[in-house]
Amino acid sequence: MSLDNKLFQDESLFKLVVDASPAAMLIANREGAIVLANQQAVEYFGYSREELLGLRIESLIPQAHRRDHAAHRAHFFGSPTTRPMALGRDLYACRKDGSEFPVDISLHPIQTNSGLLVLANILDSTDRLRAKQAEEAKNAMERLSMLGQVAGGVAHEIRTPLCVIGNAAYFLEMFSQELDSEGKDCIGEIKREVAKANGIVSELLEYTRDTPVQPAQFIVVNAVKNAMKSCPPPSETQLHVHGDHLDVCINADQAQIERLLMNLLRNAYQAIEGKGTVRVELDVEDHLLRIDVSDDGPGVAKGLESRLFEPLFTTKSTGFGLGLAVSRRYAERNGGTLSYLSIPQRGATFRLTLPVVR
Amino acid sequence: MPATARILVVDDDEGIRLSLGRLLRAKGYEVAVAADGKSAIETARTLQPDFTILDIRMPNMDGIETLKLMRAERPTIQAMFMTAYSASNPETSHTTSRDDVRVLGKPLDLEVLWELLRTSIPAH
Repeated sequence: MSLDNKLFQDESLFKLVVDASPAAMLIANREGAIVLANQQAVEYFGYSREELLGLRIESLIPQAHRRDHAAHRAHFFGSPTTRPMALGRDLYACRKDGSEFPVDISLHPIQTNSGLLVLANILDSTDRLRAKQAEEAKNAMERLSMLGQVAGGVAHEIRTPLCVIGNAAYFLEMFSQELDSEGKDCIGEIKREVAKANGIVSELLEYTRDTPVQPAQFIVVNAVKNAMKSCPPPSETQLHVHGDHLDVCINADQAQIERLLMNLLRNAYQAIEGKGTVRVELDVEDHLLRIDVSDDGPGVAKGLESRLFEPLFTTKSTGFGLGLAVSRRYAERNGGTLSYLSIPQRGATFRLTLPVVR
Repeated sequence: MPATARILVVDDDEGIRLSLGRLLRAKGYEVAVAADGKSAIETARTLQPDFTILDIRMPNMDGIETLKLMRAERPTIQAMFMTAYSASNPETSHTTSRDDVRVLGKPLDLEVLWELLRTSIPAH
């Protein structure tokens, strides 16, 4: 005990301990001025110890968050407790040269003779974040691979009976002159529902299968036309195509771009419940092709917009909610983007951008 | 050349064999069916089909291997594969090609199949 006490009172030992800490240690006063900095703080932030002393703690925070920090600091001094900073959010610190790096910070109130101070323990979290991202990517791959196996099994087990049902309906149709109109309607219903169920299987397979991009040059309006042909508008839907750049050429996987456009068209038809107008507008600006697919339906409810491209998110009663996730993947794999534009007083607009061949 | 074109349907699913066989007969073809690759090869020896429709994924011997062995004995046999694993949307064409043999996704687009049979077996 006596040895401990003696060590405890040895100030030079404390300096050594503080400087040996793998965490950067900064102590600041109520006004935010740094009153103590250890060696690791010098190494993390690129300031000398002399420069750090007296420096406002806000100088070490990225520009965008500096203003808010003074309020956070006041709040901490108002109810001083030991706590991690910004739990659940990724924090960044700012070096002398302006570069930023991710950090984990814990705050500790320290009561001294000259008043209340705060000790910030700061750890560079680059490695932790990198490991976390790698882990997340690995988990996502594993989930996708497992989903792929399930999708393959589902495809076989569902499509085989669908094929038999479709064949049987076709056979009945060959002899449908013997049926009355209701009987004929029944055959139509069978065929339509087979196609719908098969569409669900396709959606699942398409999402789980990471089809490689096979780029080639093509005239974009041809892809638009093919998509429109494969996905014709319902009888009470007006479909218009506009644009001054219909002959523009892009280098992309035409099949993927057509699928993407088909997904957007299908969503638009569904949004207006088959009655209304769907527009496809093409434009080129700064070597970037823009294709806007818009409808005059109710649009996407506020608050749901940010979730539209999440896999398994859907506002519809049927389907897995994978269509827009797959579509965005196609856009990005082909060097483009797909986003939702919220335009007041208008329905939904989805914007696809792709680089133009120069 | 016989009066009626002969088609051999090879699929491990009984429903596919029955329903497709019935349709092909209704279209005027002579049809035989086989539930696996081995019996398909045996049937092909006696039937001497003009055309064979094979499921790609089957237990023991897949459709691709089956066709290879069939063609070793009868090189002129025309063929088409079926698959339940095609990822294309129902609105797109179900066909891709594999070693010059067309692949149709299940459920089958029968109009595409009739057209394929018409062009592959022109005498009929």
